[in-house]
Amino acid sequence: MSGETLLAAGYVTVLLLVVIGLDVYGRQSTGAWESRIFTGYHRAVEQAPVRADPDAWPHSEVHRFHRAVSLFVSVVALVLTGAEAVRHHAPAEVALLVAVAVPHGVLLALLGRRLRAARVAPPG
Amino acid sequence: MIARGWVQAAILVTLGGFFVLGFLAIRTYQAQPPIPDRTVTAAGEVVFTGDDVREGQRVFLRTGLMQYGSIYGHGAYLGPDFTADYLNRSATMVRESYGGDDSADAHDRTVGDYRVNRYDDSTGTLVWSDAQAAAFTELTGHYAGLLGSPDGKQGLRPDAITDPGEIHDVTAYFAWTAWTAAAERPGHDYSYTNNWPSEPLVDNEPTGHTVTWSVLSLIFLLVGTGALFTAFGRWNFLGWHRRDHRELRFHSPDRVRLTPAQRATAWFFLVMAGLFLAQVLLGSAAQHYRADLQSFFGIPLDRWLPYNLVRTWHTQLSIFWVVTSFLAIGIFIAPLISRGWEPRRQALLTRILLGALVVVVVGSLLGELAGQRGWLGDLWAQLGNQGWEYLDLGRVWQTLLTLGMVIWVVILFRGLRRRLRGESVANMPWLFFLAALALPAFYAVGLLATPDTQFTAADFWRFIVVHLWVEDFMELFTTATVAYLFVLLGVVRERVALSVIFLDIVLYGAGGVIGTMHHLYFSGEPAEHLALGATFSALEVVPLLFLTVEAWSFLQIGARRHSASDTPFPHRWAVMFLAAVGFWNFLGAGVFGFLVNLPIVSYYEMGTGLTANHAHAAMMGVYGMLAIGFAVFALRYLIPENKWSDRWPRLAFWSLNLGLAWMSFATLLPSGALQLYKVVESGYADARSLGYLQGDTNVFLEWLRLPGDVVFIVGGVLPVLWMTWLGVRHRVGRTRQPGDAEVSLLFTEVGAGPSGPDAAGDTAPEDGSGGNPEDGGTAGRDLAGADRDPADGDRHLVDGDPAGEEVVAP
Repeated sequence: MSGETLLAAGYVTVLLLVVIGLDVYGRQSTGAWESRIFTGYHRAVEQAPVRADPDAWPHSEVHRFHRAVSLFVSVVALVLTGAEAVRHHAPAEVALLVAVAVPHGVLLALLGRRLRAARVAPPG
Repeated sequence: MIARGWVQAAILVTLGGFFVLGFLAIRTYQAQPPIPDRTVTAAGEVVFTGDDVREGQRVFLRTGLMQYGSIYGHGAYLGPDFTADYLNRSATMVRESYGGDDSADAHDRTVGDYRVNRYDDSTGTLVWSDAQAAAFTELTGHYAGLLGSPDGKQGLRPDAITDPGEIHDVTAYFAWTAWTAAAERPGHDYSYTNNWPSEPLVDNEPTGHTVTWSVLSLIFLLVGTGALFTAFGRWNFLGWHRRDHRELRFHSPDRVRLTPAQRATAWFFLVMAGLFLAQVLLGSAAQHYRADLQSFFGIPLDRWLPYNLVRTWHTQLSIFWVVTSFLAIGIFIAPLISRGWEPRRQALLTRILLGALVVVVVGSLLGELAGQRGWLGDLWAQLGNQGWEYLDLGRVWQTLLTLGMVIWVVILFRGLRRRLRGESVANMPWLFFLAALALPAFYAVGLLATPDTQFTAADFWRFIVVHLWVEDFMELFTTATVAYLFVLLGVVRERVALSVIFLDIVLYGAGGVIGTMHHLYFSGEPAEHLALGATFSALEVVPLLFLTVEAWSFLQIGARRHSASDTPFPHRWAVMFLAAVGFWNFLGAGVFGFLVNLPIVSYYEMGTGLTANHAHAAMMGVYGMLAIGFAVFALRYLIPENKWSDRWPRLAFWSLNLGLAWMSFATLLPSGALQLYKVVESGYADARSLGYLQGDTNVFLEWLRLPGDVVFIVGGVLPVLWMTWLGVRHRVGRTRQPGDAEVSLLFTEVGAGPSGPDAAGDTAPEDGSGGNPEDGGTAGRDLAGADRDPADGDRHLVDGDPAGEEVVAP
């Protein structure tokens, strides 16, 4: 097995963590009042501001943006594994590349469906 | 309007930062490596002189070699790092001359030749071994072949440097930097460059300082973040006591009448987009050199557009196009800050500024071409190519660009002066103006780096521009501008925006000013630069955590404001570009920046693809997206409603972001990581060699970037260019008239109150004198009322009582 294939497989696996990390990061609340920076403010003010509605714009579209970028990283991973398979395609190499590509494919299918289903209700 | 403590903290932090920076500037001159008057052999034979070294630096800069390779890891990444390359090649030759692998003491003798500092300060003489002198002679021939290759095909134009005297001098320059990289600093057991680069042949390895301060800076980061979160959890630092609540009715863009100067900014945005397109096309050409050095699809590109010229233009234009947008948005919002008032001839001055900007951009780019080609004779540094990366332009152009920014500040002052007259210096109009004033002031610092300045000192001043100007003062202007835009849109109270700006000054001032030194760990500075740079630049990540929150706060507040408006919020895509700024600030500046920030990582990583990864994701991701966001904001008013389509900004938004993500994750990150591995495995010189870059795996990764770049350019840049063209072609013809006061502003506030929701009056007097501070309680108000007086912000935050929170539909 070529060293390059091993490196590509390793990097594609790292990208899986990047995709998950970015998606989790993108799920964080964009309601600024819920940030820890405002904890002191919450202590001082009796009426806590209402929680941001994640389905309201711009929160909805910001969440969609993060998910789209993270899924795009999966696309990069699949292209990388495909290109690597063209360069090195001994059976063991192809098997390894398929093994690391499958989770990206599954993520793309699952999160991609959610992304398509998401409604952003833009202003206007 | 803002608590005095914020102002005092901002002043103290800024003064403290600059006091330390001043101390470090003095230490730079005291402790930079000496240039020996003469370097001789034990027999007294002169190898090269101090004048040769200084002249070599001039050759290096004039011929654009800093945009081809690097010195001390600073410069471009295609060609070799000449410091590491010379050190590796010469040490290899010296070792061979001592018997190589067959000799038991060859390694020790080689190490002794390089590490023992035989420079006598009293006589200005450096003594080299005969083996070192012989290596110098041999390497002069090597660099004659590399730099004067008649075929090109190494990234430089054919026959780039052929004069034997120039070859001798530039080799002397490389040799001197290599000597400083291995010779031990007097009184210490590490070299002038803190043992950089990694080179086993001369026992160059990380120093105790490098390791210790890496660990300590991590601890400071954790403690700093924890302390700040704890402090924010315990105290209401921002000083707000009621939640802000009001409803707004936005004016649709076609109801907003622009001033003549605002209309003139349409041309600025068109020029910005043109420069952006040129910049990315040149970037593509530079990238092609990394993928295929031989030719550009059969075209011998290196004859006309060699890599070093292409990269010079690429990096210079990255500053030019972003600054063009910043200049334009400043001019665009000045009349809004002044409540619709604009002095006479402001549009004329704006057009003169644009003309001057075009002259400087075109003149400096052509000057760099002429300078590198040697067409300007002795005027190369003045009119041509000074050659310091990012400060490549000739000194005349550099001065004119600074003066252009001064003219811009004058334009802003003229437009703001009525407003500034009655405002506290701690309020938003002054903060906006002072943030603008800092831009020419700190860009001018770059003039201290001349072609005759020793590299270490020049790098110090260069990074005042590259880091401090960009990361601190452009950041400050950005925050002030974005905050003001949201104030002008009515989605953020002025007091809230002020808190954010002062928080920005304190946090960035604490980390960013001294943190500038994280660029200078290994460029001949003493260890204190490394210690302070590591500590404070680690703290820079803290405001990045908060900056993301800050962007969200604008979004959050903005979302709540527009929801009940019957006129849709007109800036969907400008806000989305700002959301992208928040994302890339986190990923490009925060994660990718911190990845390469620790001294122990930087020691191996500096000048590899991971630096390019951070640079692209941060510069394009933050300032590029911001510049386009500013343009989209202004174009929303410049392009008539019937010509506006969300299709173009949507396409540009997605293409630019996804193209940038592709660039980073498909090529820059993996190739940079592989190169870093190569540095640790084989030493720095090997990992930076053309041989490594042309290796099969690296070339594969370089080609993999192509699809993302196509998306970025075709789907991202071209729509921006088209939109800005529409802004010029169809820009609205009507300009403001005195009777337009009530529609000059961007929103009308609608809330509960005695005047009822239809009272859209209470407009600002045309003279901008302010009006009655007590009238802030009226229900229907315009922008001028919204940020008119210091008490106003407080009152509206107090409006959060139950009665005031009743929403009245517009």
